[in-house]
Amino acid sequence: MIQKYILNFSFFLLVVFIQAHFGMAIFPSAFLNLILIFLIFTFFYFSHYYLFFLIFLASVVFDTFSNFLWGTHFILFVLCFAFGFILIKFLEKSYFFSRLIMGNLIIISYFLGLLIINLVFQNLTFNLLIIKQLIFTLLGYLLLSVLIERVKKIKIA
Amino acid sequence: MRIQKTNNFRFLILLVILIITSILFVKFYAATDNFFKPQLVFALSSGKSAGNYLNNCRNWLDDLLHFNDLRKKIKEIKLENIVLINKLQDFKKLQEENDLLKESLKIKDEIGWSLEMAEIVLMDPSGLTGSFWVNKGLKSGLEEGMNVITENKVLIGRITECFDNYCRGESIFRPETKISVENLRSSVLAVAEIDARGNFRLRLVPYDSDIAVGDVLVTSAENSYFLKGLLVAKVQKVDSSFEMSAMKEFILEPLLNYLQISSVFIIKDIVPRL
Repeated sequence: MIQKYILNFSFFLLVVFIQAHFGMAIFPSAFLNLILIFLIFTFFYFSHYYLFFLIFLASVVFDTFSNFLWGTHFILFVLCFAFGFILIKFLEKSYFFSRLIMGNLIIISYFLGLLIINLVFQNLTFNLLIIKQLIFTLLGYLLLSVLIERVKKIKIA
Repeated sequence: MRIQKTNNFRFLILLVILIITSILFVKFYAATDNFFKPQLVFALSSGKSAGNYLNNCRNWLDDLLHFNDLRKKIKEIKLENIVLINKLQDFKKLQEENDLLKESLKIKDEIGWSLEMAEIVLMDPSGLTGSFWVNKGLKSGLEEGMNVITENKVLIGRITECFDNYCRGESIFRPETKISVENLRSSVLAVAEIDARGNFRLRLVPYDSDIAVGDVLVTSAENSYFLKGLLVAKVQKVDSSFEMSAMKEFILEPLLNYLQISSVFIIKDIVPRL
């Protein structure tokens, strides 16, 4: 059990490192939000306290490197995963399609929150880029979910 | 009835505790701003060699996806190079004449800026704000507002926040950053900024003004945050949707090669402020 958590945490650090170096661009560009996808997978398979710890770390990374107000990403992550907890009450997380729907809704709520914060508090003008990022992240999550499901089926067989 | 009341009371207490804890945690998070930022930059920048591999990988992928554009650009650059060589010949004659005049009038050379060399260690991973981190800070004499340029005097941005060993900067591509620019050829003034789609644009250009494709734009004296004479962009094309209006708009090609900047220079002696 502990091994599973250690492995997940090392993988999280790797994802953060990749996102920080591979995703960085001085010129505005749309990029897959790998950390959010990773947090969604953790949300389905790990303890929620552990998820909160990862949310805290991910928020520190995003709040440090992006130019948003300090705490923007923390509040966004907490709100969208709180929405995820509500979704779990209505949808069964042991089914592939309900996990897919829940994950997609979490991603949509995160980027919607980002859009609202941009419009209300920061007046940033990159709304189209945020929508592009939303689409990339949705597709990325979809592909990864299908891939992981396939691997699981092969393992069982 | 009594059990239900007790349960409700317990739930209420739990809710109050939860709300207080959440408020305290958010307060704690808000207060950790200055503590986490330099620590995290140090932690992530220490794995720089691995990060460079990732950057190279990204560059390679970008080249692969845009190889047709690259081929076209190489052709254009080759042609431009020939034009520039010819211009250089003319300038050499002018330079000689200038040196002669300087000598006869005893004019001293202009003293350059005092520059601090630094490296960009990290940039915004969300790709939305164009903020970046350099590996020099207050200890190297850097402070808020200083301009960041490349070795070829291309403007990158300005420093906005400083810690002991690191500084955070905002690039010229930050949304809502308006740069007053001047056309090097015709001295026409206009405003360069990034639009909602992420295109770099030249705005507020009067319809009859003399701006042509290929013109180079530098910062003008009207800027509050940037020094005069720093290279910004080249005019790429006219925006056809503005052909009928009183003001023209142009799409610009930034001179900043954003995929390959690592070493930067910070102008220390002049700090533009509002």
